[in-house]
Amino acid sequence: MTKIQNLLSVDRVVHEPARLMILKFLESVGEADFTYLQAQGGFTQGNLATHLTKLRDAGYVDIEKTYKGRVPLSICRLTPAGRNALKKYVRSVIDALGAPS
Amino acid sequence: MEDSNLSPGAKAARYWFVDGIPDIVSGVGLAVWGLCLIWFAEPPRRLIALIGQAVFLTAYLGQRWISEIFKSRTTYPRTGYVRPPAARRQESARLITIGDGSTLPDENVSSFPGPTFVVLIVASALIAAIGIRWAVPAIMLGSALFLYLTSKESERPYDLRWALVLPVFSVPFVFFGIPTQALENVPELTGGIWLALQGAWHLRNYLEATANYRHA
Repeated sequence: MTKIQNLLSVDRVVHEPARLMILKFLESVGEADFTYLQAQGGFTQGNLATHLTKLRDAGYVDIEKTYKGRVPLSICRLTPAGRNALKKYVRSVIDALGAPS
Repeated sequence: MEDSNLSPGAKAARYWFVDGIPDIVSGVGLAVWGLCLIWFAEPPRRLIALIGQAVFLTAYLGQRWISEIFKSRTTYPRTGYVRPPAARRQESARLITIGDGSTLPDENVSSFPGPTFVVLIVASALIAAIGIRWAVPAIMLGSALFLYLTSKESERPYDLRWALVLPVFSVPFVFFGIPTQALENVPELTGGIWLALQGAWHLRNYLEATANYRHA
């Protein structure tokens, strides 16, 4: 298998642009709720919910329903598996395409 | 104010200050401390000074916790929650290690309000050392410009117009009959009021901009 062919084996859950963006957001900020992610990513409610469900099912994101004061929040966090998957994905892409000049 | 070129981490750090609540909390703590020190300087009342100091320390150390209580009622239901920025210490250590200050890591970190407090306390020490009434506005002008210039690229930049208001606040103290030894506490009082007013201004703008929010 050549380096470029490695792109065929990248994690498809991470590879989808919206999910990649969600993972990158969560990696940078630590944790965020549904409303914040929706505003920052320009998602519709349904779109974000679908992607978060896929990420949660893959074990990459942990979603906690909690309260801050009296306000109910769905707080999303990157799991260690999600962090590793993101790192592995970035490494695979850089390996195959080369680091940006 | 929104900069689309900011990284997600830097955006999250700026988001913490978007509603002005951290400014109000820090400002009130600082102003109460300054007020206690000035009003009770002559004759000296240690207990009042200690109470002022306790209020300041509570506001400084508990800034995140106190701000979150208010944010949970105003900000989180409107524009969402993101983890409050962590202290910048770790990042500075890394910047020193890799020797590259030009590109800040994409992390949700902040050093506010530490540097602001340090500048105001240094101003206080300078006023005490010089001991001339008219030095107060000049030192406050220097402090304001320093704060403006050093915070430009930070997650909590000071606006130039607001920075120039700081020395104006200190002018009345030149004419007030407060004891000369109490003048050194003018930076804490005026700096605190200045911060709290900025916070109130940002809060007003934020509430206006998000008036039609929908519940999460």
